[in-house]
Formats: sequence, C-alpha cells, structure tokens
Amino acid sequence: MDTKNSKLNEAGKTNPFKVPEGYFERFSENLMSQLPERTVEEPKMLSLWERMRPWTYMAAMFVGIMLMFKIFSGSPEEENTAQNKEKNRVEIIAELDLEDFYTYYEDQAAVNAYRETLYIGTPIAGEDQVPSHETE
Amino acid sequence: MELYNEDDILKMLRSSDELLQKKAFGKVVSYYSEKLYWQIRKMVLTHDDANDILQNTFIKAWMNIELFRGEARLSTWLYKIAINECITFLNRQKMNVQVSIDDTDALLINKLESDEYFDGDEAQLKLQQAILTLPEKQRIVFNLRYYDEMPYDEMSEILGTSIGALKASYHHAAKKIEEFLTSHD
Repeated sequence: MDTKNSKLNEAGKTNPFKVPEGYFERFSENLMSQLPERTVEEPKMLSLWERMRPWTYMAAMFVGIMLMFKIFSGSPEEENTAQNKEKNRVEIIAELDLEDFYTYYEDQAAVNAYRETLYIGTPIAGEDQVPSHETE
Repeated sequence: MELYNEDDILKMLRSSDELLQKKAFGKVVSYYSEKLYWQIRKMVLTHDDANDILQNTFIKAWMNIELFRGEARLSTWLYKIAINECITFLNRQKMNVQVSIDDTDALLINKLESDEYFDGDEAQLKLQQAILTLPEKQRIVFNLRYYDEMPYDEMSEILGTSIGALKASYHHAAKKIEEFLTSHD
C-alpha cells in the first residue's frame, strides 16, 4: 500500500493553505457582532377564542363527518334489507349477557326443530306427534 | 484559552436567557471555527469562499440551535451543516458558470493559483488538482481522512454513510489520485 501510494506520500499531508493573520481571532468577534437576532417566541397573550379556535374547528369537523355518515349510510329504505336485519340482530345479541344469549339460541333451536318437523316430518323431541302429521 | 466544556455549553444553549445562549454560542464559534474552516477550505479552495461559507454555517447553526437535540455530538452537527453548505455552494457555482464539470474544476484550480492565501508548492498544487477530479462525496471522504485523519465511525455519523462504504470510497479516491499523479508526472 505504501509503495502504491508513493506519489501521494510525496505530496505530503502538510496543509498548503494559509489564512490572513489573526483571522480566527477576528472571525469569532465579527461573527458574534453580526449574529442575527432570533425571533424568540414571546409568550403572547392569547384570547380565549384564539386558544379555543383549533379545538372548535376540530369539533366542527367531527360533527360534520358524523353527519355525513348518518346521511350516506342510514337511509330508511335500507333498514329492511337482509344485511341490516343481520346487523341489528348482531347488535341486539351483543347487548345481551351470556345467559340471555343461551336462552335466545335455545329458543331459536326449538323454533328450528319445530319448523323442521313441520316441513320435513321429523318429530320434535318430547312431543309424540305433530298436528300436521295427523291430517296426512 | 478558556476551558471548553461541552455539557455546560449545551445547558447554556438550551436556557431561555438569550444573553446566556449567545455567550455559549460565542464559545462554540471560537472552539470550532478553525476546524470547520479547514474542512470548508479544502472543499472550496479559496479563502474568501471558505470565509463566507463558515459564516453561513454558524449563522445557520445559531438560527436552528433548537433543532439540535444533543443525540449526536455538537461537532458532528456542525460538520454536517458545513458540508451541506459547501455542496450547495459548489452546485450553485456550477449552475452559474454553466460549463462542464471539467471546466468548473479548472476554474477552481485557477482560483486557487491566484489565491494569495495558497502557499503550496508544485506537488501540493498537483495534489489539489488530483483531488478536484474526484466526485464530491469522495473528495469529502478523502479530505476528512487524509488530512484530518478522522476516524471512520465519526465520518459515518457526519455523512450518514456506512463505514464499509466510506472505506471503499477512500480506497477508490486514493487510487484515482495516485493514478492522476503518476500520469501527470
């Protein structure tokens, strides 16, 4: 590496540059005397409205967004769609506690079993016969 | 010379008293101006340009002192500003001259030759010429390493480049300079 960089070594590491005499001493003084004033943020007295303004704007924005959701997502025609029914059911279920949840599904199961019996002919557990069978 | 304690200085710089801030900044200027000057000078070559850039560097640092959070060393932060200022200056110079890169380098060498504050002999002038043929980043790396012998980890912080890449960059730079010096012998 040394022999490879021989030319570079010949040139040496001496600093070939110089500065006017006393430059560095004068530089600090000069710079400090011309240092611009920084605009230090003075604790401005803000009125109540000025302080509340951003919050008010934000609140207004949220109200706006909420209204938008109401307008675009909740038209009365849509309420009867299957999706909404399912949504409502889910919401109702969420509100019930666990016991109600089981009761609800037991009832549902009973109704389903009854329907199956009506249309397919399987007897309901605990019941001997179903009226429709008798007629057939 | 007054003792320079960076921790105390940083505390003073963060105080809300502007007079105290200014006093602390004055100490920073006295302590770092020479180191930064030489780095800038090797990039822009002439004293007048280096002087302007050094002033801009400190004024920028003063105006943005709140942004210095003390995660890096103050010297690293100042070097970063100085190097950015140099690059901006050189780019602006290129734009103003509206010539090819070779001509800009020639312009810099002419400026250097006529600069009354250049004291180098022929070999040193040739070395400066060789350094000028390097791309900007390699020039910075070469100057920091060759003249200032700055450790690679510090350089890596200043330039935001990995140590491996810096070593490679220095190696390439030294090789190119060697080739230039041999061919222009």
